[in-house]
Amino acid sequence: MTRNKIICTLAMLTCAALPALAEIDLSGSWTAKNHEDAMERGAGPNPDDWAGLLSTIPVVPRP
Amino acid sequence: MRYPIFKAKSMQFMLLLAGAMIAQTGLQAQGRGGGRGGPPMAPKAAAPIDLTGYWVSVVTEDWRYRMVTPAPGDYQGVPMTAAAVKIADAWDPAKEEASGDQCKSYGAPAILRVPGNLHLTWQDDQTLKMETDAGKQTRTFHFGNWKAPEGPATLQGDSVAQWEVQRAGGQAVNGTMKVTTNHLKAGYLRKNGVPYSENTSLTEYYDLVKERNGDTLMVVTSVVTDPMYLREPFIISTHFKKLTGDAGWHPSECSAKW
Repeated sequence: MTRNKIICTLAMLTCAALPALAEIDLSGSWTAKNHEDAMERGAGPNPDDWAGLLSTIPVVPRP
Repeated sequence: MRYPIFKAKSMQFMLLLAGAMIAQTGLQAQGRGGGRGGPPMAPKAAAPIDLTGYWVSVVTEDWRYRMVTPAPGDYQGVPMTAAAVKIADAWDPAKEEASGDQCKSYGAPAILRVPGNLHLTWQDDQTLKMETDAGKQTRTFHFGNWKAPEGPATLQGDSVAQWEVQRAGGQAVNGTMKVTTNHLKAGYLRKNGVPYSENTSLTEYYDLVKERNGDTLMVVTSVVTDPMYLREPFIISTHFKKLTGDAGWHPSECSAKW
């Protein structure tokens, strides 16, 4: 009985350790670096300015 | 003494298990895919991702600064120093064309932001070459113990590369090419005269992303450090889509303005 417990525990520990080797740590606090698209991500672009968006909606200028 | 059979067999098992764990740890620690006990594999053979082929810019970010020449004084997003603003405010593309400095916005810290095509090939087992059709520039990424030659700073600088391999269970499952570039000739981060100095250092991380529709994207994260003209590291990511051939390859000369 004790043998089985030890074997199972060791097997579980071995298996549990494998995925952890490929993981990255995303936890913690993060802040945005707005070095690109600063206008779009900050104050916002001008009305009807969709430059860079691969939109399927035809761009129709405002009258 | 209660379990004589268990003692003998469990010892064997534990030894086997320990051996397996040690072997696994050894695989984790191996660099660049070298075989155990054998010589390390050359960077070309050990590449965890395939960056070779033709790539086209996907300009969905900073469109207004990349697809058209931005207006003088439009420097949004770049953490410039006061000295940099002074230089950028004096930007004169006509003067640069006249003096033959029209390639200043095609240097290593800016070249990937220029819309166009890239062609990546292995020059040899230790060197990955990147060519651009826009501006006809060539960058070389040197793996291993490469020593930069003596000489003046250049537009594309001296680039040292290394693989950062991600492993799971001892197997390489993904990877990143990290490139560090120094010895750069001064140039522009943006077409409208945002400067970087000869003290600039560029670090890039090349990653691949597989899209659901089968497209392969290359995402390059660039970190530009310049103690003279940047208040903090300038961090951007640039995207490229893999092409099946060279149909879109249209070499063109540098231009100070378009």
